[in-house]
Amino acid sequence: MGREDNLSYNATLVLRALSVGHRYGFDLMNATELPSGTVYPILRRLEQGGLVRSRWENETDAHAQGRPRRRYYEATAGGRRVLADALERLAAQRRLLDLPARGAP
Amino acid sequence: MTAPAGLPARARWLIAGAALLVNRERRAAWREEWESELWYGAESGGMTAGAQVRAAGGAWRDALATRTLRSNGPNRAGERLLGGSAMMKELRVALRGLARSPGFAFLAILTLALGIGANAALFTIVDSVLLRPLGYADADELVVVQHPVSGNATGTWQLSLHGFFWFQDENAVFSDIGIYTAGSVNLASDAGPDRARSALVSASLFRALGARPAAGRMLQDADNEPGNESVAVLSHEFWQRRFGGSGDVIGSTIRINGREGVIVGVAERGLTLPRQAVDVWLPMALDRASRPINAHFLSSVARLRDGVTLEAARENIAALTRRLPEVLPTAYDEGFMRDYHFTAEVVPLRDEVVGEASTTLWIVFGGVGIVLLIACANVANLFLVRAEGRAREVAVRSALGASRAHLTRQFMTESVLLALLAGALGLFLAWAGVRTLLTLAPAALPRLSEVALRGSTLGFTFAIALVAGLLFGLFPLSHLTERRRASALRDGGQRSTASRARHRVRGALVVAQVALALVLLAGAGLMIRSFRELRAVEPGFDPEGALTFAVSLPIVNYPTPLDAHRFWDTLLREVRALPGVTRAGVTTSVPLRDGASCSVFFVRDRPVTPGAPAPCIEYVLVSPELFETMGIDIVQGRTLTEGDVYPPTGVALVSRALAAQFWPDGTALGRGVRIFGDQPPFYEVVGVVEDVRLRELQGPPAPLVYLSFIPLADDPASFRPIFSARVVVRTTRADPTSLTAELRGVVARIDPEIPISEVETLEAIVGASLARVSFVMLLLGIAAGVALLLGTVGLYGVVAYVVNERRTEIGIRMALGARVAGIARMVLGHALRLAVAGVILGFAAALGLGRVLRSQLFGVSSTDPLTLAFVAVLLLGVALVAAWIPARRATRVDPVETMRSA
Repeated sequence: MGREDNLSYNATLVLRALSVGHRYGFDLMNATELPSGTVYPILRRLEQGGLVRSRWENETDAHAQGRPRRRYYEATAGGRRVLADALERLAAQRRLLDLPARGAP
Repeated sequence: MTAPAGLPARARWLIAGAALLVNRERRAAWREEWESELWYGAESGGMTAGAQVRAAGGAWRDALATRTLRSNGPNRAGERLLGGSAMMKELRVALRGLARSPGFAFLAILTLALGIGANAALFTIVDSVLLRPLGYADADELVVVQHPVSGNATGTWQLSLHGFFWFQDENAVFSDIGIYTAGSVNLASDAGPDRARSALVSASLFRALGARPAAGRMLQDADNEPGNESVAVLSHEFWQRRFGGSGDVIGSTIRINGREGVIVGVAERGLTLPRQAVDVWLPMALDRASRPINAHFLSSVARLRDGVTLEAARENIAALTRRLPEVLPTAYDEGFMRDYHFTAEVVPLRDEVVGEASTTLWIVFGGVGIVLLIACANVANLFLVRAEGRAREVAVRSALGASRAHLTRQFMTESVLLALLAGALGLFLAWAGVRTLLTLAPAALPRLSEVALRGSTLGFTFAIALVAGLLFGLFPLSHLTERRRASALRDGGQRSTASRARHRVRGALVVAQVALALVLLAGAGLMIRSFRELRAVEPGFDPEGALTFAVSLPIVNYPTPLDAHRFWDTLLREVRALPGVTRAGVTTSVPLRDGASCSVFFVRDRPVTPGAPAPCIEYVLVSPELFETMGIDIVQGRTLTEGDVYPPTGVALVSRALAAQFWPDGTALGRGVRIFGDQPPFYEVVGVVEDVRLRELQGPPAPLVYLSFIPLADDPASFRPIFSARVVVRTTRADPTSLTAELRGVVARIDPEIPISEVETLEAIVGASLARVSFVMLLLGIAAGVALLLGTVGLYGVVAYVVNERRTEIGIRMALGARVAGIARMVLGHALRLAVAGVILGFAAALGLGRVLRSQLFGVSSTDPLTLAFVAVLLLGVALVAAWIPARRATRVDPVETMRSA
């Protein structure tokens, strides 16, 4: 079984937020409306699974703007593929959910 | 990155704590990310401080998740993208497991919490009193110089003034040495008279202790010059309490014992003498021009130079001590050195402070350690029984593919969780226990004010809970062999009989419990007997219905003996006039409380041979009626009367022990005796009084001389009039302390500047002298009681379990004609065999450990056969009672019923 089958709804949200350009923790939180205690564990698992990678912002840049450094995350190629699968699956589910309910025969 | 400003401290701590869960390589980055997260939350997201703290709680979830990722490696983590962390899952399963058998969980947690709680409580005290360094800078470099003496007197003497000068000038091993005496002074200010705890010190003491001022300055060497001593340094606490921490106090004047003194500084917070708290530090007048005398009352503290060992210091000081007759010939001669075996020793300050308390505390700690072992044995037994019951569950799980490692982890999680819950409960018990212990502990126990539940207790509790938990987790594992699982599955786990090996383990646990319980019971029994013996010792006075309090006269206002006498005389007359007061007297020493100074003692017509100095005998100065007030019997002759006092006639009374020592064949009456000089006038012995115990009830009474508190005017070596004494009052009131306010009023009417202090009943003083023995007795008694209870429960549990397991066998035996009595005998015999084995083992251990207890015992040997026999009978009796219930159940087994179900 592939790991993509296991992508949770919240993980899908996070991965999606990354793919549309939200790049660091606080930003992702705002975009997904998930609490930090949920987003970070998801990021860890995604990174461990190779779907996401991260890098630290240059310290002097952050200093110049008088704020702490950011850790930027981005989806890997594998991540984007898994996301595409997941979105497709969600769309299929969506179609299922949108079907009008049929009465008893 | 610097930690973002504006992060609430609690949030920062939460993150720092969670970071400890993250593995080391990732920790710094992990923490930085979370801190910056909260920073953004506050800066751009408008998070409140409360929201930040709540968000920081999420860091814990993240840390746990991160941790699981690490332990499982990348592949596993990949498989688990969906689920929560594995650890949380294990915890949930474990919690469900415990919730399914609440009886087991409750019993195991409670038993373990009792053991852990008792140990955590005692650990807190041991840690605070014995293990933590004293509150001085580099306290392990601090030592005390003392003179142990034996021969003509026994005990440990402190330094003499000129001995101190000699050591200070000539030693090669100390960076500094200081001296002090502790006492109390009358402080007069606008708030009325107050009694303050004082320390008279050399300025070098502060250098040795490494003490710094919080304001102003500490004392300097110049303050110790005679005539310069009217300065004072306040303790930080006294400054806060009495002067509200005001900075104006430096340079202001207070009246100390009637004399003006200038406050030059405030000491740093928490500075005390090694054994006593201090309110005000005063300079001791150090007069190098004074005549050297052989009086050793100056306590010392010295700091070892870098790299100097205790041994080197000992040798150096001992060598200097040997030269004392040469450098201070008026105070020391070779005869004195020989007859008193006068030497010097250098001991670590901590040993000196902690002293005998160390043995007492370690013994009690050992006692509760045994309770923990017994509790562990009980819980281990519970786990064994539970493991039996779960054999089927285990078999099903492993048949469905659970790996051995998985099962191991599950059992471990469960037992560790249980032990940690017990640890948490135990910590609460410890917190309550420490508070109770502090009210019970003898006041003589040092450093009690420093006792507090600290991180070390937390760590200790966590550690023992964890070890216990891992241990119990291992127990069920021994059952996880393939074959057993198979058989459990086959017969449904219903009738699988316990193997011989498991019976042996269970039996061994019970034997160990009984043995440990016997050790504790024996210890408690010996302490109870010691306490009774000690209580039976006659203190030599009547403690019931008597009160005592301390009064000190400022020497400036009462310069002559006559002035002092007028004060005491007026005071006694007015006190006797109070309603309910029958008698009153004054003494420099209340037995079992103050001790007394000793001084050289001479007898008329008994010349001192050169090289054989007179013995050091303790003396007490008393007023007329003191013996009657204290209830000390006159054995021979007469008591001290008003006629002896002023004008003084020069009479003395001696204790029975002194009379027996000096005049074993004749009478002491009519002899001439003398303290502190061998020239006339001698004091005529007019009476012999009953012995009293000056310091403790243990040991034989010391010889004592009583002199009138007004000395002969023409005595050249006259001891000074008494400025500091205790008044003893005998009353018909049911509660003697109800006199306190009236007594205070009487003193204030005579001199409003004089406070009274240390108001105590004589009964309380006798009680305090029993405190150490009763403390050990009480704690070992409680420990023994708990041990007995747990041991009984353990024995009952095992016998009941075995009976249940053997129901079928018992049924068959009965069907074949076995009698009820025979069955009962079989069950009881089994229990008795275990108990006897435990008792024998316990005897061996008790005899071995008795030596440890010896220093605490009084009037009873550590191998006292009566106590040991009683304890053994008690244990066997309790064992039989514990086995009786399952035995009765065995006899009621219905053969038909058991055969059918078989």
